[in-house]
Amino acid sequence: MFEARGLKKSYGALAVVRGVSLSVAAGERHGIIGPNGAGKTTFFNLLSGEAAADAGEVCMDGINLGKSPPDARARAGLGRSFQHNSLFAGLTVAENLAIAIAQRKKLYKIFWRGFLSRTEVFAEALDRAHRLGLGAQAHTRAAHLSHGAMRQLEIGLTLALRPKVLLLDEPTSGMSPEETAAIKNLIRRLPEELALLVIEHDMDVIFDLASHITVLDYGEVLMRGAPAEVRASPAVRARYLGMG
Amino acid sequence: MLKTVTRAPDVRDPLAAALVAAAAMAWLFTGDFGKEVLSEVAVFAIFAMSLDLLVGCAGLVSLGHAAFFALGAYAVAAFGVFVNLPMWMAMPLAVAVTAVAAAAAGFFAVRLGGVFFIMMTLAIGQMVYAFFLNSRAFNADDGMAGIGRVDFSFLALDSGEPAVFSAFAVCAAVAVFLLLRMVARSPFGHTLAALRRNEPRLRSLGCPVLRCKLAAFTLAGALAGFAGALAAQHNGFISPDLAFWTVSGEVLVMVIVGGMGSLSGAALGAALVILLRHHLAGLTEFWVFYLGVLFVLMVLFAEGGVAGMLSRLPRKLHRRGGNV
Amino acid sequence: MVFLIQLLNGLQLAALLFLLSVGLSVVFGLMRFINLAHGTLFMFGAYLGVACAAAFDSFWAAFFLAPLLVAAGGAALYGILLRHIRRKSPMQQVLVTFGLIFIGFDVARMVWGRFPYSIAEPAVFAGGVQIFGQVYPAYRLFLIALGIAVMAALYLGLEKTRIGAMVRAGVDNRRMAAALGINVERVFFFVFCLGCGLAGLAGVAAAPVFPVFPGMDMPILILALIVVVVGGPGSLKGAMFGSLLVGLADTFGQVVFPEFAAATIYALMAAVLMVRPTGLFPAATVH
Repeated sequence: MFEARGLKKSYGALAVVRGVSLSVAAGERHGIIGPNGAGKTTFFNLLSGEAAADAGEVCMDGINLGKSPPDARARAGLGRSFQHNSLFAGLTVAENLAIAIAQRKKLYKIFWRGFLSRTEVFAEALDRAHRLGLGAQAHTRAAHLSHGAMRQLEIGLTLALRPKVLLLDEPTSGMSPEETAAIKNLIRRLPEELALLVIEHDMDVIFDLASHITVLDYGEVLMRGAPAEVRASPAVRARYLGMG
Repeated sequence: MLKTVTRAPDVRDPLAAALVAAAAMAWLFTGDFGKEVLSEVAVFAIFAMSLDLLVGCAGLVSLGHAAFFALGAYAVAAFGVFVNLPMWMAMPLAVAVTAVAAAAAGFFAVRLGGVFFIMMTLAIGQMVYAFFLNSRAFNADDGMAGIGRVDFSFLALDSGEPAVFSAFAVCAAVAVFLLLRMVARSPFGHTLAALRRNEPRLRSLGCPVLRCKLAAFTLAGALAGFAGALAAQHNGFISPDLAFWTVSGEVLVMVIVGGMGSLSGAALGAALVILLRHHLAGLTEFWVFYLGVLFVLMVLFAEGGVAGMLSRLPRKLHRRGGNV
Repeated sequence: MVFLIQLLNGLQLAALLFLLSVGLSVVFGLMRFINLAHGTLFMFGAYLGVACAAAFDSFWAAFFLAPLLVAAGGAALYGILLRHIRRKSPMQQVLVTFGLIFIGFDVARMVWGRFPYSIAEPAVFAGGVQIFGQVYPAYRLFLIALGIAVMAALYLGLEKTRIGAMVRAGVDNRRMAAALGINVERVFFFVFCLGCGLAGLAGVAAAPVFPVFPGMDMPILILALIVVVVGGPGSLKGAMFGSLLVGLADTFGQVVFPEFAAATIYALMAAVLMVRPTGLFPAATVH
């Protein structure tokens, strides 16, 4: 249902992504791993439209997303979270979520009625805050949250879009073991039919969650397969896991 | 911004109420000159509030907002003098013309991020100024005189009277305030505020940010055009100076002095700057110098403006009271 | 032949625009900082040129002294005000320099009054030169040559000298440059003062051709900003091509559609931005 074909991106003389193809089926849990500088985040930026690809295409449900900007891709059902938290820092948790829900419902078109009168939006926002495990902090400003809670809200904002394809960029970076467990739980409870692409450095997390794994190296696919195959591959062990 | 999502919104705006009361007092207890100043304050309050939608709400700083003020004034003059339409018709037409112009200019401007947007708006302002300065149809730098006012004769009132026109201008300012407050409180307004806080994230959440920015730019331009149409009637005279960069700067000072993001603050800023200008005009011919100094100081030291200081005041008093 | 004369006029405007925009552009590339008071420095360059020319009774004294004085003024401005707002948001920085335009405008009025001044061109370039049967003022040719000379000097300075390499590294990647032990702050200060000096040079060089009056800064500031937007920020090449495009478009626009001269430039900028939103030769990322 979601497919990337031959994506390429260079910054000046530096080729960061050198022809990566990938397809994800509904319900698939697809992990992307690779050493630092392998081009993982740039690859995500090409998928979500934050960066323009030099070559290649991204298709969703058979429709070519072409050069469409990130907001059009989000409306088509492609949600992403960011490696570095990108929140509305001055707003509370519930307000952050309400803004995201309002975008899903395309409420930005409404300029004549009060936002606060849309009680269903705020009820859903509070409900989502609870399900993220942030119920107690629903009225805390995002800037005052702990790092782990920010990461949860980061994912929660994207989930509020009800995406068909979800791109998570290092959801557990910089987290304590307990916080990592909370994120793993959150990912396990994602809707069945959702296609998940996740970049992750924590190998335990990725081998635990993913049904498929793609290994990127120097902007190219080094190998692809089930977690057990990737774990057993001598090439991956030599290049990446450092256990060759 | 929404304070909390559970508590009912705070609908009281003491500053706005105080401003309306002050306008009523000024109208009741000043002579014709005071009422002329009151009209001017009301016109600039509309102009400043329209800019606050861009600067304070959406975080889009425009250094060329006077372009639309001037366009509104020239359009109302064109419809009134050349086509001979009554002002009741010329005014909405002028606002429509300005809205179209703002949409056309905004189409290019909103595509540019950050500092480039600011530079583009400055360029737009200067181009409109240069256009009117060279335009023979509008008498170039001589400008045009003889612009009429709206006709209130069906109420047996003469809009040439300062008392009538200033009351009309104040009512118009209140109407614009209510309109912009409605917009700011709507989902669209909250989306603009989110855009100011984190545009890339809002875009990744599916918000068509360019369309939203364009809508805000167009609405702000149209309302600036409305202010311009009122100014042309108030002065009975227009000239390219309406589009001069100092006018854009002055209205931005009003917004910053009053406090970005507060509509009543923008209106207060308009009143303060205009009263200060009238006061200083008798003392010095270098008004622009003091305006510049005020501008720099406000940007550097008073981010919330006067409205921000006032909103912190009750809390401070409360705290002091609690300590005693 | 009218075409040739207008071409030379366009090149002369382009030369002035280059002197002005190169400082704006490279400073922006280095520090993401747009100094809207750059036009004000141009105006003060012209006024100080007038003052020096009167004091020493020599155009050349003004030509060399005025840029130095403006650079010194820029250094003072940087030390007193701009250094302290570096940590503020870009919006506040731009607004502060916008406020400086107001102050500069009235300071010029206070000191020199509202009536225009001018400097007599130097005796060497006082006459005209025969070009294809037309007489063209020699001083205007000198302006074109000045633009080319400064461009060549900047090119060599950027490519061949140590500080040029530091500037290029800073534009390319500021954090990396700092990590490599380059004192980015000092490089910025140097480039800022150089940019101010060039703005002053443009001012004094323009004084025999354009009237010197309060408010002469705004039209040229707008053109310089458009040069930066069209050419792409941060690069010498962008400033050069942008100046040529804008200088020629403005000159020919005035001739072909006098009432819509401003619109030709605007149309040019719009067209370039539609095709290349970051300008023709961006050296620095825009956002």
